[in-house]
Order: sequence, then structure tokens, then C-alpha cells
Amino acid sequence: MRKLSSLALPLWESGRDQAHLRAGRAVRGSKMLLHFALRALHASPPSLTLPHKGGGNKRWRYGLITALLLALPAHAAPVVADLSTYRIAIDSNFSGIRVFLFGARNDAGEVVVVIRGPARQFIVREKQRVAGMWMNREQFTFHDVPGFYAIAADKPLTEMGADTIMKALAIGPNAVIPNAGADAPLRAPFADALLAYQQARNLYPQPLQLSFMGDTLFKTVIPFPDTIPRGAYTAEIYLLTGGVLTGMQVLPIRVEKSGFDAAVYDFAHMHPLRYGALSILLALTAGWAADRIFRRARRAPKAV
Amino acid sequence: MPIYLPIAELSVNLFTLLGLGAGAGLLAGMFGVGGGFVLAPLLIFIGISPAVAVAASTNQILASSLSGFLAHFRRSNVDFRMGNMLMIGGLTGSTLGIFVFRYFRSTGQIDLLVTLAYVFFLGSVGALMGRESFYTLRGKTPPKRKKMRWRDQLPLQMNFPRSETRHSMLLPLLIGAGVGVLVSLLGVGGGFFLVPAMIYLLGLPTALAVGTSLYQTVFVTANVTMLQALTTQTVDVVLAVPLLIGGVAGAQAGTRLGAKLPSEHVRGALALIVLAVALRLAYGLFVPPANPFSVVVQ
Repeated sequence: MRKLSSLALPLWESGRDQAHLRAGRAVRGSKMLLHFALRALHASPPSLTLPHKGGGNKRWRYGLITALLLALPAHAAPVVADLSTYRIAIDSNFSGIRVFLFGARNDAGEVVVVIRGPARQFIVREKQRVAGMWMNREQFTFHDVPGFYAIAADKPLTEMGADTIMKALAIGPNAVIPNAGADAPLRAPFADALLAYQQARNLYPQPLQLSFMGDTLFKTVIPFPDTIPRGAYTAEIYLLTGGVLTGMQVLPIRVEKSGFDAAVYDFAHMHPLRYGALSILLALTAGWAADRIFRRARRAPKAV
Repeated sequence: MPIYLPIAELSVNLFTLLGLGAGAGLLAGMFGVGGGFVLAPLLIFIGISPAVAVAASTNQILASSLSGFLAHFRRSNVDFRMGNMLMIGGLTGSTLGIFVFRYFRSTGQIDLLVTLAYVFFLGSVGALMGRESFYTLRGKTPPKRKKMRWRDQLPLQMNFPRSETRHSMLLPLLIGAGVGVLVSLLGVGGGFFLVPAMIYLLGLPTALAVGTSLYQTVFVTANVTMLQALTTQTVDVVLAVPLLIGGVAGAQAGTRLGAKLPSEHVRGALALIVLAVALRLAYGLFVPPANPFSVVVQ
């Protein structure tokens, strides 16, 4: 276990902020490590914006988390789950997709499923009246806000008596947009505006239905809208028994652009000079062709 | 038929884009100016982000100004010496404008700046054109303006044989630079500003002013397209193609339609359109917004 902890430390040191560190103290031992490993998954380095880079590094992270999970004592798999797909491809016809999550619990307790999209930084601005005109005045920056966030549970989170763990694992409506510190009251309306913005784009759906078939098997449907950002997503499945975390599993979901659109996007970002030249050439060709086709029809006035 | 725009990252109906391109082209063909200041706001209106809309509109103007320039070139309606001076100013101004755009975008004031610039330029150009066509329609000549003596006292005087004028080279350089900033900020070609400036300030005949303005616009919009591709990656070729096709067809229809209509009425109508757009934009600044909060992803 000591070896694992020394492995896990650099992960959260490099990627995470102090708020999570503080929150994490509530959870001790191997579960704390799990938490940080999980959080590290959500860090969004620039490499995430380009799907062809940094894949090897990611696999290493998933490997580490698997290793941590295997290190959990006793009940090898208190909860197991799987997804209908691990990869969502956004092409020109993409209009959202429903992904099925199904699983089984091998222990007593409540199941909570959290689906998190890649973390991004958001700036929220408020317009105020200045000399009769409405202009942006106050602004706040929110770090590490998930690009997608959905929860499925078989009973309301508040009734599970696991508030400390929920907070530590960033589960629940208050955890979606981290808002802490001395200026929290000032930031509150901005955090609300950000929440409303994400909800309006269906990125933070209302709590999903987690339905049980019998006592063991459960399933839920995750509705991904057409506005989902690309990057690494996770589906986290927790088993809570009497307010204590007794089992968990993390499943990765990758959202990427595919086909012609992805090629255009990558070309524009990786070879901007050639892309710019191509755009200019395209416009010049169109202009020249128009002149050719309509030459006779055109009557440009003669200057004196 | 929706198509997905890979840079703008949303789906838009193909026929909407063709129609917008055609509408902008129609205006450009009828009046010789005015494609860009309609296209960029309309693209923003259908949900495309301002940065992408400005880049797409610039790219569309590049195509339409090239075909316009070629037609005027064959009629030798281009003063290359004047055009080159304007172009040097324009390339400098548009490069500067890109950085101004980036700065104001980072501080969150870009929308306000763009709107205010539109209100100011559309308002003053519309008023100028309206005044002109008002007098023409009533059969009077507008009152003679003051002789611009300061203009002739500037240093670095230079002959422009094609226009048969003599001016300080600072004038076209400064005018070009001012227009260049507008191209980067607003996604317009700048013809609505450049043509009156050349007619009133530099004393060029109308057709020569239009041809020379188009010559300058080709280079400045190409420069802005390249700079946008390099700095902000907001040039969307999938968005550009239907706009180009619609714009080219619309410009041809507009040219024929414009030739049939009496030009004083056409100019009066354009002045009214320009003033209406300026008023609508100004009105938007003073109405309390439905949602005072705006969100930007970084």
C-alpha cells in the first residue's frame, strides 16, 4: 500500500487544487487515495483537446486506478457495472446519444452513479448599467467545472447519511460548481448563472432514474446531448453501506470528433498556416470562378 | 438539411447559410458596398460565436471583392498607385486590429466595442448618404463643403496619374489603416467607409473609387483570414463554402437588379437600411438584457 501511495501522490500534486485537498482529509486511507486518483482523471491537460496526443499517458492513469482498485481489501467486487459503449463519436449527423449503464451489487447498500465530463475553466460576467448602457462589469472565473455532470441514484442523496463522503467525492448538486473561499457569497449568483447555462444546454440533466431489477441488478440510461464537449469522461459507480463507501468502480468514456469534421478541426489547429492558405485559396477560386462564369453578364461602369 | 460546422461546433441548416450568403451578395451587388455589415451580425444571430462569424464574413468578402476587382480591372477602373498606398495602410491596420480584438475579447468588452463601432460608422455613413440622396431626389445640389486646406498642406505629396490628383501619401495610408482595423474588428470589407472617403476626401470618381477599394479589400481580407487562422483558429471552411456560393450568386442577381433601378432611389434605400441597422444596434445597448450573465468557456 505504501508503494501505491507514493505513486499516487504526484498525480494529484500536479493536477488538482487545494480545495480538493482539504475536502479529501475527511476520507482516510486507501479511499482517500482512490479519490485523488479519480480526481486526477478529470484534470484536463491541453493534450485532451487533441485526441491523437497523450493517449499513452492516459492509459497509464487508468492502469494506476485499476491497480488501486485491486488493492482494496476483502470484497473484490462489491459492485460491478458496464456501459453500452466506451466511445462516443461526434460526426456531422450527431444529435446526442443515450448510453446504457448496467451493473450488479454483491453487497447490501445504495448505489450512486456519477457521470463526469472533462473539466474546463469558465468565465461568468454580469452586465450592469453604465451611463444608460448595459456593459460587462463584474466577472468571476470558475476552475475545474465538469463539462457534463449527471447523477443516478435509487433514493435521494440527502437520505443516504453519507454527506462527508459525498462532499469528498464531489457528488451532489452543490459539488458540481466548486464555490468556496472568502468571496463565496459574491460568487454565488455567478455560480447559479453558470449552472443555469449548463442546464439550458442539457449538460447537467436532472437526477437520472436508477432502476433495480430484483435486489442485485440495476440499470440507468445516460442522455448525452449534442452539445457535449469532447474529452475524457468517467462513469463512477459507488456502493454506500450505512454512510460508508464499501465499493466503487470507474468506467472511462471517450468523446471525440470523427470523420471529415474531426479532420478539418485537427488540420486547423495543427497546421494553421496551411489551413489559412487553403481558406484564402478557396475564396480566391470562388471569386475567380464567379468572374469567369458571369463575365458577360457583368457591366462595370467606366470611369471618366 | 443540417450540416455540422467543425470550427463553430454546431449544426446549421445548409439553406439558411446559402440564403444568408445570397442576401449579403445581393446587397453587395446592388449597392457595391454592404455585404459584410449584414452578414456578420446575421451569423451571430443564428448562434455562431462572434469570432467565427467575423472570420467567415471576412473570407466571404475576399471572394466577392476578387470577382468585383477583376470586373473593374478590365474596365481599368483601378488606380494601382493609390490602391497600393491604401493596401500598405490596410495591412498594418488589420494586423493591429487582430490584437485589439484579442485584447478586448480577453477583458470581456469585445461585444460592446463591436456594437459601438457599428453604431458609429453605420450612423455616420448612413447620415452622409441620406443627406446626399435627399438633395439629389429634390433636384438640388448639396451645399458645398469647406475647402479642405489642411489636406493640401500635409507633407510627402505624391502624384496619382490615374486619378489625376495629387495628395500627401499619408492620407491613403491613414485611411487604409483605419479601414484595416474595421476589417479585423467587424468582419466587414470596409467598402462602405472606404468608397465615401475616397470620393469626398481624395476626390476620386465613383467608379474608380469602387475599383480601387475592391483592390485593397482583396489583400486586407486575405491578410485577416490568415491572421485569424494563425491566432484564433476561428476560420471555418465548411461554413465558408455555402456562404461563398450563395454570395456569388446573390451578387450577380444584385448587379442586374441594381442596373434596372434608378440609382438615386437605390442610394436612398441603402441609406435607410444602414441607418435602421445602426438604430437597432444602438437600441440594444440601452434595453435591459433578459439575462445579465454571460458565460465563456476557456
